[in-house]
Amino acid sequence: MDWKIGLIFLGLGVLLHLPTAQWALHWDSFSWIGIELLLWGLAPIALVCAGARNFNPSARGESHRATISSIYPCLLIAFASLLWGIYSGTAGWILRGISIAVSCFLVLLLNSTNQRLYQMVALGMLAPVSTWTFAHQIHWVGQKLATALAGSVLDLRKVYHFYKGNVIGLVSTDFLENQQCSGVRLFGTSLLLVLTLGFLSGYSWFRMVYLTTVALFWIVVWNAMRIAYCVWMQDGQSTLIQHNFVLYDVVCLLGILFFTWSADQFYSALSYKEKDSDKESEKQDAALADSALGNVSTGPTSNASLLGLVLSGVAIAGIVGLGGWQLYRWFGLTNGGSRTLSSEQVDQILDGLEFKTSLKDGWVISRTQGAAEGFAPIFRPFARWPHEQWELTNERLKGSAMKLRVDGLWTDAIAPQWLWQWYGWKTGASTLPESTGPNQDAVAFGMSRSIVEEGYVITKRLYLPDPSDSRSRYVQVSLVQESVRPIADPQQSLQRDLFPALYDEIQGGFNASHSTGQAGIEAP
Amino acid sequence: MLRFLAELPVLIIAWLSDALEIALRFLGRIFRFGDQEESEQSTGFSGRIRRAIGQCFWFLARLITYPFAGFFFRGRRFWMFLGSIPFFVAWLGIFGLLLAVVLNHERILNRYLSRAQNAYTKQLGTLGARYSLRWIDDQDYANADRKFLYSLVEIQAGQNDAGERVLEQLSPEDSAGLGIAHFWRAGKCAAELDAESIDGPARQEALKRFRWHLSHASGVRPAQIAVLEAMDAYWDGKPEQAQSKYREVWQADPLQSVGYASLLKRLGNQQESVQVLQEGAQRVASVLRTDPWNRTIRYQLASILEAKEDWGRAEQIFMEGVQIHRDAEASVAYRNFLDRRTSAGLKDPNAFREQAYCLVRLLRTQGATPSTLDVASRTFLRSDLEVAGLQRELNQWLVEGLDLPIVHLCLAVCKVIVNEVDSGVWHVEQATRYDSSMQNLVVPICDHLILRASENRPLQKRLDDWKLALEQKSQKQVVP
Repeated sequence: MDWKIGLIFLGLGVLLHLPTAQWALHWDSFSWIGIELLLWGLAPIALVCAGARNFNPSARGESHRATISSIYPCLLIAFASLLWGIYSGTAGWILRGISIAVSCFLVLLLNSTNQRLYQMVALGMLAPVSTWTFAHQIHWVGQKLATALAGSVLDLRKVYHFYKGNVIGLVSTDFLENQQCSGVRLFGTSLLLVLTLGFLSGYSWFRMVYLTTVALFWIVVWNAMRIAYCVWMQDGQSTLIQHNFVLYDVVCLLGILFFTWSADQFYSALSYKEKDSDKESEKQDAALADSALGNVSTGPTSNASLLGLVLSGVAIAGIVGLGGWQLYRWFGLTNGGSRTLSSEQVDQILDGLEFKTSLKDGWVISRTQGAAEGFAPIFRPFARWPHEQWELTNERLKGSAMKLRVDGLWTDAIAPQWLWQWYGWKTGASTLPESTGPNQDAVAFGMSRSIVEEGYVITKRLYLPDPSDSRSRYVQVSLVQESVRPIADPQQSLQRDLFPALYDEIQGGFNASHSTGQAGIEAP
Repeated sequence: MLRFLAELPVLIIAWLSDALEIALRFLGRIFRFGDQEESEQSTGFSGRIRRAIGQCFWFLARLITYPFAGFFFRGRRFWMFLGSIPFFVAWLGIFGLLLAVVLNHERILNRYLSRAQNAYTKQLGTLGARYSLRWIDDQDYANADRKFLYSLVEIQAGQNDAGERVLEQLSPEDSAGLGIAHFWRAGKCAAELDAESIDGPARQEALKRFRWHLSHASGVRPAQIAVLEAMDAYWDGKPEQAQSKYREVWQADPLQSVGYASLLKRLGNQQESVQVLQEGAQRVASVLRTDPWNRTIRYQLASILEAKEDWGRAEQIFMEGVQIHRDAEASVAYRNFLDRRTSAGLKDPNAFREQAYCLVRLLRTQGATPSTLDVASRTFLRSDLEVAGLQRELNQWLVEGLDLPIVHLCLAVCKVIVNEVDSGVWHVEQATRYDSSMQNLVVPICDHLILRASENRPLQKRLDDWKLALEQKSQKQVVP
């Protein structure tokens, strides 16, 4: 029975994330399956593992079947989640409400126990957590480990390299491995496949934890090998080597799965006797449970009135329907939905952006091609990652060059320092610059790297124009000054004076594009 | 007593065997609980603890013996063991790799350090800086000496600011840093004080900083520190002490001649200053004769001669250097010397002979570069009287046989400026007769002079006519 619940829950999770899956499959590498989908997969696995293998209802005196009276509070929680989600504009809360309602429905349908209901509700509250807010942190740790291991391999091969934060650079040529060091590849896909394998094999929670740990280990190892190979091939080459990354994805995925399977074999061989004894004890538990449950009244109909069932059904259908409608409205899948800009359009607008404002005091702005420290992170929430950079120079003020950069398209507000931290900058505490307007998103912070590099950044989110969408996506506009000396107050003041005009110029470019009707739809 | 001593070995063996028995009994009591049959009987908190310890023991025993015991597995379990071999081997490989890298961490960084040193020796600063990036942030590894190397490679890579920042970090003003970095800072302060552009409290502050860094300076030749000490005495208002200290240094090291002569000049002792330069040049020249490949000695000798304003001998020294070394560094040194000589020549408006010589040498060694054309316009675009003086000296150089094509070319320009266009054409013909490549120089010089003489319309017209006449001549030569 629990297997069925798990499978249905998993299927539902996949269905709810069809836009993500669709978008992932359109990409040339299948490392893009959303981490939210992964959590939806984890929920039934954890449920089955926690319930089916280690839970003996009769032994703990929790053999009562779920009743309408125990479902009502859950439905109340689901309704509150839904309302809060609509009010605050958070898709995660709506998904939680829906998942709790669906849990109630499944429990009624499958005649499960109260204990199972509470477990499913608890997992439902956890499952659809919006992970984009911390995905970059997962990748930051994973990438750090992968880069360190890749560096060890390169050390063994005597390929001379250095680190800039999470990115490896080559000594022999002016090269930074931005592409391969932009996040842990195949993370979601591999983990999902490994956990599904464990789920289908009916493993215990301890074995699932072991399998997950081993899978994470091999994901990091194969990412490291991939980075090391790409850097090694590039060593001593003046031109950029082209790689077949789809082939690398396939090889890495097969490698991860093979070694995880091998590790699973190790577990099986090591605990061979224990497994047999487990089976015997399970059989005994099942026999005990059957005998205990046989004495307990069964079926929801014996405990609940028809009116209660109808009310529950209506409430569940209402919550699911209302939440689904709201999600579809937000994600722009209905006609005349969201009018915000897609990442592709943002890219186009930035490509065509010309700074018409005459900058004061002899400043000249020019577009930078191929920025050394620029990358498209693998944990980006959309298919493309707009990144543009301009350089501001002044003939009169030698050594006061600045960089204006626009990065990424985000839906969740993440710390603006992450981009610089990725390249090894140690950032100081954020402060609010005085002359960057009333928007509280604007922050300024100093940073340092190696023993000489210093920097100062003023950065501010630029929300893409869509007044109807409370979940507006945004790009990060930053004005950066880098030097080998600490950035003194007059230089910071110069930067603060320049920033608002440049920010307004970029905002004007987006507004103009929006008013000319270039806005479109993009699946998250 | 003796009996006891005789029995002692036997007693020790007996005590040891008793202790072993007790220990085995104790351990046996604990690990027995790891066994499944025993675990059924263990109850209570202490029982659970014992069972956990026992289970851990048996698990570890199984894990350690797994690689050997696996070959004795039978049936399905044996195939599981075979399936686990890739995991085991790969895991051990990764673990071994990490262990090897961790244990050899310093050795690996030493590899990068030696490469950085090597790159610095070969004057590949950019490469050296990249090698240094690997270890510069390692707090345990990057000591002051290594940071100093980093500063040197950064300076060699053209990143002077970065290199100086490191040197500043290595020479703090509140604690002991690296002696050589303090010496560098003291030298920097001395240059500030020498410029004499600062005064009052700022000068006092600079003097204070200079003395602090000088007191912590080390790692260089004592003579180098003594020079700064002499300057300190001079700024402290003790000229005799400064002179005597510098004299000691100079007597030991003639390479300090320029600095000592400069000090004497400041103290108003012009005659002795000249004598010092004269004697210093003789002593350094004798050293150079024994070691003509030594660039440092060669450039020091040239600098003494430059300070003496003996430009001819200084040039000879540089040209010898070009002939001996035959590399870019020697050529660049000679070009820089010519620039210095030209600047010095142009300072005196009546030094026509020197100006004519410098222009001829610049045109010969550098061709029609922007800097050479700038010198040409500054030399030619002057009053007719001055141009006549220049012409006179050029004729003298012609008699003396200095680079005939270039001298003819310069004379041609002078003739055009003094309104003798036909004569100008004739001189160009003479120049091209000696060296056909002179035609490549005529047009850029003419164009540059036309551009610069924008306020002198008649001269512009003459230059245009001259250019036209030369073009017609060359066309006639092409189509006979």
